[in-house]
Amino acid sequence: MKKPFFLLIPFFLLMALVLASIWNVLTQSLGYIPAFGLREPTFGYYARVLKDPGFLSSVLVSLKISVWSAVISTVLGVLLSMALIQCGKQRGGHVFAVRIPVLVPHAVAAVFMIQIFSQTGLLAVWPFVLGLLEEPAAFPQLLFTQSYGGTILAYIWKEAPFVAYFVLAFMGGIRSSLGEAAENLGASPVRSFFQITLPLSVPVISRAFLIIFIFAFGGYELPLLLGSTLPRALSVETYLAYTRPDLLDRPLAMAMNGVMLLLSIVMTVLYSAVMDRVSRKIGGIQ
Amino acid sequence: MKKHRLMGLVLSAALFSIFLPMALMLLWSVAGRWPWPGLLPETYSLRTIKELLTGSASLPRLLSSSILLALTVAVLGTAVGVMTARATETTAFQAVPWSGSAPFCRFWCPGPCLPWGSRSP
Repeated sequence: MKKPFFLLIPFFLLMALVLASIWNVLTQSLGYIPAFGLREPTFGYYARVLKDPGFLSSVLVSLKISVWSAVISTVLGVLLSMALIQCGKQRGGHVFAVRIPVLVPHAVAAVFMIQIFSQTGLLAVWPFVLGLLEEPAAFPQLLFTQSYGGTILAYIWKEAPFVAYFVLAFMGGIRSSLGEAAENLGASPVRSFFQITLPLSVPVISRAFLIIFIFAFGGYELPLLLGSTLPRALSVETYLAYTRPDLLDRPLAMAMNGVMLLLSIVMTVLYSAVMDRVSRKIGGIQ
Repeated sequence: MKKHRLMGLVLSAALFSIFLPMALMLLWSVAGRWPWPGLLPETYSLRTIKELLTGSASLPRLLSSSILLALTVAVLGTAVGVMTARATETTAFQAVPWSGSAPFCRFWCPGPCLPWGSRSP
């Protein structure tokens, strides 16, 4: 095929929709919403957002959720992928089972976490029955707290299988070619994994990390359902500002969205630049 | 051999943690009475399932609209994804700096940006 660029037309059309949406968000964040009688662009809403002491707390909460969930999910996902490869389960029922959490909606994942990790959940019942707990309140509170433990656990439950599924085919390909060649030449399976398969898979693993990191940073269902009342995650704060009855607060919600967008872009660019360098240094396959 | 056994354990633990919450939810959906700290429900009932299927919750209508929405998104998303993947595999496209990251641009955009930005105020 000589000119494959026409194949990109649907993608660019979708990207145009995304860019138009971003443009709308940014213009509204500057206070330009003629339908509400707001016609004077101003950075005042950004100033209000940035001066709000609760805003920094929200940014930190979102960063905490996304960093913890993405790091742990990536480690567990790579381990799970390796387990699937080592056990020869790269196709069939096991892979299908691993895909299930990816398909489960976030609201349902939140219910799962409540069933298991709440103070009256499954994990609290067993110690109580065995006499290790005197009352449900003695079980550590993991949900609806400022630690956002429940939110992080729910993201891990959904994202670790996503990472495993995302990297499985790539890691499996390397393992069955270069990894096995290294083992035939005398390397132990552990050495072959850490010195051949893992380094060459870094670009794919880093992409999986980036996707789940940005997704957790911007996702609002799980922090809303399992998080504490204060401080709220940035996405929850934005959502609540957007749904306030006073429509003149709309630019404030859009300014929060603008900051979130800027942070996402900065983190993505920085991360991509760092990972590009790391991959080149260790010889990962691009 | 030892490593295979360890990896088998990892895989079993992963599958257990995937299926445990789903089994628990299934049990809850047919539980009639389940006082704490019971390990299993005291009574079982299909009341909630009947209510979903025939009652005011009208599950079939909700399900059909959700399935239609999901199917449309899956078909269109797959078609656009395959076309984009084919195009980005060519050397001409790969020569463009940062082209490999282009399909990931969507992830820069926080969740609420797209629905809120694409509708009129």
